[in-house]
Amino acid sequence: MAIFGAAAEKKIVAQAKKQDAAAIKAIYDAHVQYLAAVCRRYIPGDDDAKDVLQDALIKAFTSLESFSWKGPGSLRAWMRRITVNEALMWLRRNASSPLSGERPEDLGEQPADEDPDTDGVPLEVLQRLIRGLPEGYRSIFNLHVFEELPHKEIASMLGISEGTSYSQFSRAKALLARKIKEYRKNGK
Amino acid sequence: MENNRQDWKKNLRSEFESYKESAPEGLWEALAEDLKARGIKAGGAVKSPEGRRSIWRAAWLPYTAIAAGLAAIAIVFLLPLHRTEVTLVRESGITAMTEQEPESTGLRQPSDSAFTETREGDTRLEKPTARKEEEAARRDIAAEPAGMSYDDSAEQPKEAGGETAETPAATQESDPVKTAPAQDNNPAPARGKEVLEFDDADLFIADASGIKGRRDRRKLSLMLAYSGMGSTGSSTTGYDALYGSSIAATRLSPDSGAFLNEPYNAVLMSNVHQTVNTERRHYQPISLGLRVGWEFAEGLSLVSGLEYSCLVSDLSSGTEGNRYETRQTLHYIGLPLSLEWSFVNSGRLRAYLSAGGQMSKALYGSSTTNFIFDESNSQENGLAMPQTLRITEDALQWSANIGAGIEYGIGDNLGLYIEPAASYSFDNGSPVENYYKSKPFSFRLALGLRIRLH
Repeated sequence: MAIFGAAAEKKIVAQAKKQDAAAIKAIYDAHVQYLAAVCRRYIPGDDDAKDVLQDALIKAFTSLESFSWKGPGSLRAWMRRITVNEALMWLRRNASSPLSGERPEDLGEQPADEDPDTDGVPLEVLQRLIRGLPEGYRSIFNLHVFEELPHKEIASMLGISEGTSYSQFSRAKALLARKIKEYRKNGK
Repeated sequence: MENNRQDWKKNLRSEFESYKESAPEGLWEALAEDLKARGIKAGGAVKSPEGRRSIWRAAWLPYTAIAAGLAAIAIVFLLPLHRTEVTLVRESGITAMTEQEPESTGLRQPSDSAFTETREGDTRLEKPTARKEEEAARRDIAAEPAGMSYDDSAEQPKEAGGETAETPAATQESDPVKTAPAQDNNPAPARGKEVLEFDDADLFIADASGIKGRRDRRKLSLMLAYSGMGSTGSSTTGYDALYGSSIAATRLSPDSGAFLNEPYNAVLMSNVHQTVNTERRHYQPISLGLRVGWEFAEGLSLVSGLEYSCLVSDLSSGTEGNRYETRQTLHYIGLPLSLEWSFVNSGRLRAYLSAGGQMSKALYGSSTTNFIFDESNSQENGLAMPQTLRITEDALQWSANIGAGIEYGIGDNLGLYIEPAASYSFDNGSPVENYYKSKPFSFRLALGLRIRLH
């Protein structure tokens, strides 16, 4: 189903607040694919990503009454925040290694300060490459690039120092840049 | 260069705005089942229709009840302390007991005369034991007219030893004695018939120049001190937290995985690219206490007791639509000690100055953080439950204070008083934020009821 127009979305949200099953399904259909992409960018495993996405949608639909529609895109942004939160909570519960200590040895002590050249790289590939980043790098990269959080807040959120957030983001960026180069070179 | 750095991120973000992936298989069915089991009802978390007010009110109730109970206990149990009331009526050298008295007071054995000279120039009256002669005299007392005075020449019980209070010096003082009530600076008024009333511990000293009353009095005060003079507040940019709150624990956590605060994270993400502010407010404490005073010299009293104080602070951090709000409540018990000087004591009116200090100890503290998303309280929107943590504070809180008071007697035992006071709270090095730290020097107004023991 295509994304609704502003008036239609507002109306559908109002109906969904009244627990109109059709309206809820309409919202689900309109946003689930986008939210699935967001979720998978944080959670590498498909089964885990499905569980996290389901939890996020449950939370969104059970608290829809408190949502105040503020214009086109506000609903998606709201649901996205919930999804990212759920993803971070899942990562916390299932962390394989501490965020602050993770550092792939092949990057070396001083990774090159190089921005990833994403021009011409298919989004599916970029998504895969980002999903392939080490867990700590991936979370910080997503929070800084896609959620636009400053490092100070990322540090506060993840319980690390601001400096660690900076350095891990730099490493994530360098690693992504290298992976993109390898993709361009090898096609995979 | 910097623009390029920002460009690639902006480009990446922009490209992924339209990026979608297929929904996991079976997701909708599982979701529908789950929603059905839960009931698709918004605000499924614990509802608190009154929000913060109910928390505030609920928190106050037990402590108000405790304070009222303390006051009731004090009135019921402390007033009858002076179980033996001795009323002396001076008459012809014989004292008489008008109330019950203990068989043995532990005092030195009185002579048959109730007045025993203990040191030069002074005559000390000690608690006499009832004797038949005295009891007989008591019956006669009721018929005595006002103005009865000490008369050495009156009949006295025979005394084997030479100790009697009716020394020639005392005898000669009968005239001054007669007029003693007028000279008597004792705060308790003579009651028509020169009946002097005192309790167990009272000592009545008559010196050679006349009988001057010195009274050892205790005053029990039930005091309700209300500051009501506002609060201190501050506003800063950025996020912040009250020490001891769940947010502070999150921000201070040394372990990256120790405390991932989901609602806090949600607030941060919701306010991306927005100016966030933190507002603090420390409300002036409300106190309730009991005081006991000991008048050790004319117009001078040493006052102590117990004082309970409740300190409340609020913090709000974020934006209007998305923020967290913390309410901190601290309960202290204090031990005040002050010197009180009554410089006006006229009729029902008493004015006094006081100076002293207080040591307070934190009994209990807690902070509760609520999260607001899209201007909706998290308790109602179900996105997050309030986070409550207990706060402990080991350091003692010391303060010094001076004040002036006016008391108006509304009865023999009751007085209404108002006492403005200035107080300075010393920094105790504790990280817990409260009114004392935000405003060490403050004024407060105490309104109270003072109950006197006679």
